[in-house]
Amino acid sequence: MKPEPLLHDTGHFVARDLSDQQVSRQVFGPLQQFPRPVAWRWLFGIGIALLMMYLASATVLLANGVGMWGNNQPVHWGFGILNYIWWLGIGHAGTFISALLWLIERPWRHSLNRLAELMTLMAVICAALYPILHLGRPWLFYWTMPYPNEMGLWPQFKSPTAWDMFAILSYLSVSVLFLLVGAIPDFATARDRATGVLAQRLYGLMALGWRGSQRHWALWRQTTRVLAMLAIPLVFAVSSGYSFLLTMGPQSGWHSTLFPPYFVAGAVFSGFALVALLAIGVRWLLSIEALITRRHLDMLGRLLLATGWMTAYGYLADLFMPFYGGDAHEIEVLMTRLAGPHAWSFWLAIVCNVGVLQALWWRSVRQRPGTLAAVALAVLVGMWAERFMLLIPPQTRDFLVSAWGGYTPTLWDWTLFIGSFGVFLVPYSLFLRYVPMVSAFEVKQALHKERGDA
Amino acid sequence: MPESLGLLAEFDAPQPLVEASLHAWAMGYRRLDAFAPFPLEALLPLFEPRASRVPGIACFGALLGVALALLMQIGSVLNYPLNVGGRPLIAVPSLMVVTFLFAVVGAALAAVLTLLITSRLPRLHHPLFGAQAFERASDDGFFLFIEAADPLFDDQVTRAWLAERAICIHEVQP
Repeated sequence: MKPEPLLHDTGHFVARDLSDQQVSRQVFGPLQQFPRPVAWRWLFGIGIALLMMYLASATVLLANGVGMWGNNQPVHWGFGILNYIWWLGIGHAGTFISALLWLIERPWRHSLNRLAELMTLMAVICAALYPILHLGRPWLFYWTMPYPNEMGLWPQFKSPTAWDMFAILSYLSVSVLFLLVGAIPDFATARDRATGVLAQRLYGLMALGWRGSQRHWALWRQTTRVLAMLAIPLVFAVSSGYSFLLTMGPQSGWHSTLFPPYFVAGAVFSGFALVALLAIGVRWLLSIEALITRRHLDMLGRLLLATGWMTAYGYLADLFMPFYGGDAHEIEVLMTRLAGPHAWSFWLAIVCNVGVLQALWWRSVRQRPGTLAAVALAVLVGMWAERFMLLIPPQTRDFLVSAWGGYTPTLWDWTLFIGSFGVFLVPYSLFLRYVPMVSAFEVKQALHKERGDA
Repeated sequence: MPESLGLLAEFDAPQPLVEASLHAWAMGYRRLDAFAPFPLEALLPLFEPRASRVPGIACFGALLGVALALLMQIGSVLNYPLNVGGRPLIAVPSLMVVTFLFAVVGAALAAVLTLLITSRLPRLHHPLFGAQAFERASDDGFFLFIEAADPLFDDQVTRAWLAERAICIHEVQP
């Protein structure tokens, strides 16, 4: 085995003299000969088991109705919305990291963008399934879309629930376009390196007949630039959009003007945590430590720390505002968050997202895959707890004390949530096997640019 | 033997390809194309004119999205008026979210369609794929193709000129 590469003092964080062939071998080699088949089989097997759990939970839900879940009076928004927000938030980081770093021309982005964009795709699908299952009659989900029907009915376009459907669909379609357009040249390389006829044909179809013409490249660059510029405001719009879902409700504790940026920061924060976790997993599974180096991990650690502090600012402001406003019920709700029956969620969020996060100030923590993964995992747990803390306690404390109530998720809430990791893992592990996980052509370009020979 | 489509010169690095392409362009060849595994920034100015229309068409797509979104939202309230507490039927601020999203999707679709239509992709086959060694154009090969249809093209002269620069030359059969 090759020793772990040292830190490279280059803009792209990869060894300066890596040749085009070496990059291709690293990226496209695993498509033919997977370096760690046993680990992959475990990953895929666990994914399938979780997916089965998801399907079973969804079947039970469809057979018996939403009563299988713990939400009831007065907590109508339980795990359905909580996990939706959590997954969707994660989904925002992939496109964001890829598009923003493309526009500000950070060459080290090219090692991370594909795995982040694929993460976005699957996370958004995991999120989008939740509102559909939450409908009670999921087979009628298309009623939220505008279509000419004999009843002459239209969706209520002034309602955030209608905005939400459009937001998810727009985000999904722009993310898919960004991902596919960005991957066309890599599918072309996969096609040209493939040995089997079936692989050649399938990658050939995905590559759309790409032949690397500079005329096409000029168009490709313009299109990618336009898509990147569109993706960034879309991330802001969609993640502040679902904070409006809360804002439009009457509950105290959901009306801070900070909510939209607070949700954007939290979304990107949790997404970076999963990107870091996946980057560590992907570089090990595909043995591409030469392309996703420790400096990439270091950079992800720094981004995590920065977005973590933005989220922490949200916590501080949310603690301060009720007292500044002075409304008795707002203070009541805040105190319930801090010391009520679900206080664990608030303190878990603080411990994970503010406390554990500070370990990232140390370079050695950021650069060691194990420790970075541990912090990223803590952040994911912490962000889930944060969503719980934001969503559940305000609903348990209505304006009238007689309407107060509790909330306990049921077994089926938990199995559906844990199973949703299968919805993520099964396609993701197939991507690992069949999709070039690093944008090889952009890495090659960055390498040539750094050497000054292109 | 059928007439060849042109000559494909192979280079082993991006720099010689860029120099040869710029030189050929300066000599007056217009029906030429360079192939590389990644965009060569020095060559983009030659091919930019067709690419620079993408942002404009994307803006047009955004406007189309806005128009469609407003038509859908305003049309639906006029078609089925709902009086909620006497609020205005056409409440523009609450229509903005969907309108914005339609604009973004319209622009994205327009940009990608422009990419596909202008580059005449997808296509299942191209004569260049039949050329020897061309599969390396997506990997680590750098190629310059000069079409036989170019007015300046002369099999002997062009071949000799390319041979001075390239590591080898392939003929492209239709």
